[in-house]
This record gives sequence, C-alpha cells and structure tokens, in this order.
Amino acid sequence: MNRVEGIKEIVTRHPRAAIVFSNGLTSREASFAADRPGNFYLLHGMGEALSVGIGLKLARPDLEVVVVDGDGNAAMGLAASALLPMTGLHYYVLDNDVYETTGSQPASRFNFKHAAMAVIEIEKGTIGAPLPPTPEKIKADFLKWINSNR
Amino acid sequence: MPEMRKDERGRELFPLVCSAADLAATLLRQYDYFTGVPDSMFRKVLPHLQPYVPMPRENHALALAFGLRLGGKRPCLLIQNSGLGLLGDALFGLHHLYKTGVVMVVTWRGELPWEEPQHHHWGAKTGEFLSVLNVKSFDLQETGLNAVAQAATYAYGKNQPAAILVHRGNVDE
Repeated sequence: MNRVEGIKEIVTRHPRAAIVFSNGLTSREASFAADRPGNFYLLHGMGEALSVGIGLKLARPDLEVVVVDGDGNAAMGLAASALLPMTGLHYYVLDNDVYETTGSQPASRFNFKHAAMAVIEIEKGTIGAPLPPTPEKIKADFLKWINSNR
Repeated sequence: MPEMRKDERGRELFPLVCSAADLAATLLRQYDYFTGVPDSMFRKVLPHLQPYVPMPRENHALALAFGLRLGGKRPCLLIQNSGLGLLGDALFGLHHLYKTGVVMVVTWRGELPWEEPQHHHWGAKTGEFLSVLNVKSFDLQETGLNAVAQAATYAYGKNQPAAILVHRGNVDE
C-alpha cells in the first residue's frame, strides 16, 4: 500500500469527519488525491497535527475528528499522545520508516505503541503530487465546511 | 523601572497589579478555553480557569489553541517565558501562516537579580524574543488588567498572536 492508498482508505472510513493531515507529503498527496470538504492540510508546524486535532475535537465535541500523521511527524509530536485516548478522535500514523519529504532519509524506528494510535505500514516513495493549496484557501475552505456543520 | 515593592523575605518585586483571582476573572470574561504549561507564578490563577487543558510542551499547547480556534473558540495559553523557546515553529507554521489569532499570558521570569540563575537568560531576552516572533505584547505592568481585553481585541480582531506579559510581583503568588 502506498501513501495515497492509505489516505484513501482512512478518508473512506470516516466520510463525515474533520481530517487534519500533517505537513509534507501527507498533506501534499492528500490534497491532490483525496481532497474533500472537511480536510485541513498542515503545511508546516511539524509534529503538531495531533495537538491541532485534539484542540479541534475539544472545541467541537459534536464532530468526528481524524488526524493523519507520518511516522516522522508522529515521533516529533509524541508528547501530545498523553492526551489520548479521546472519544471521537481517531489517530492514524502512516509508517514507512523514512523522512520521505526531505529525501527518504532513514527515520528512527517508529516502535511506539498506543491503544489509540493506528499505525498503517506504507511503502516508501511518492507519487510526485504537486504542491498543496495556499494556506488562505486551506483555512477558508475548512472554515466554510465546519461552520456549515453545526 | 517602576517603584518596586518587597515581599516578606525582603526580595524586590514589581508592583502588585491585581490578585490572582482578579486576573483569572478578567481572563474568563475574554477567553473560553485555557491551556498551557504550568508556572509557579500562575499557582493561584490556574485553579480558577475552566476549561483548562494542561499540555506537555508549549508548542503543543499552541497547536492545541490553533485547533480550538479552528473550532470557533477564543483560546488563551498560560506559559513561562522559557516556553517561548519551544513554540516558535508552531507559531510561524500555524498561527502566522494561516493568519489565526491567539493570546498567550507569559510570565517574565528572570528580570530580578535574586531570581534563580536558570531564568536570567530568558529574563534578558523575553521582550526582544516576542518581537522577533512577531507577537504583539500587552504589558500588565503598564496597562493593568486592561491588557487582557486589549490583547483579545488585537488577537481575535486582527487574527494575529498577542502576549500578555506578567512581571514578577504583578500578581500575588
């Protein structure tokens, strides 16, 4: 399974959720191949996707929230997993053992286990997706969606 | 320097601006969700603040606040100045990048000579550091509790980060 296939499987599993994607290829490939209302693409702030998702869930307990991290992002933001489990928040880590966005350098082995974390093994490599949308568009589209979902 | 006062141990302190309870009550009028990493200067403030989510790192507290804001809340962080060193990338990569406001109450540790040595570097650099991070400061010492509403108006009116600075002695500990 490659990254896009993993992302598509997650999106299909949570059709009504707000989904926060971590920066780098996760956001880039999601915005290219699995774009949908309710997606929020982080462009930077590495290691912060889980915290953003937790904040979103706390603000809007009525919403299902999904966070999709890469393994490098997840390792960097691991401290935030202290707040898990959280009902209605689903946390996925796409694990390919490398920092793919920066050139497929080896990452430290992601051998963290948490009952509230679903690790999905994916292949190394990238589909070569174009850059994601601008931050202005990402935020405007997401706010339009979330404000119409009350 | 303002006219300083002394505590019961004879240590110099900045003037008292308000009680911890008054600061908390004023914060609760402007903000509806609180997070951060505890500092002993907030010891008497934090018990009044609900809901409050303690976070393990200041950068994660800031990212949590970003998520809260996307969900329509008016979040407020409470952190020690040393935590500014951790949150820079989250601030540029989330709040500045997506033009999203946030307010952080920052204790300015390390300004006074008697404070413990580990605070002194941050004591010398806090104001400058906030400027470098493009965070507008509102100083409790200068404007009293008005700083709380001023920071809120700025942050959530202009979608920019703001800090409320608290000097040692401004709030009862």
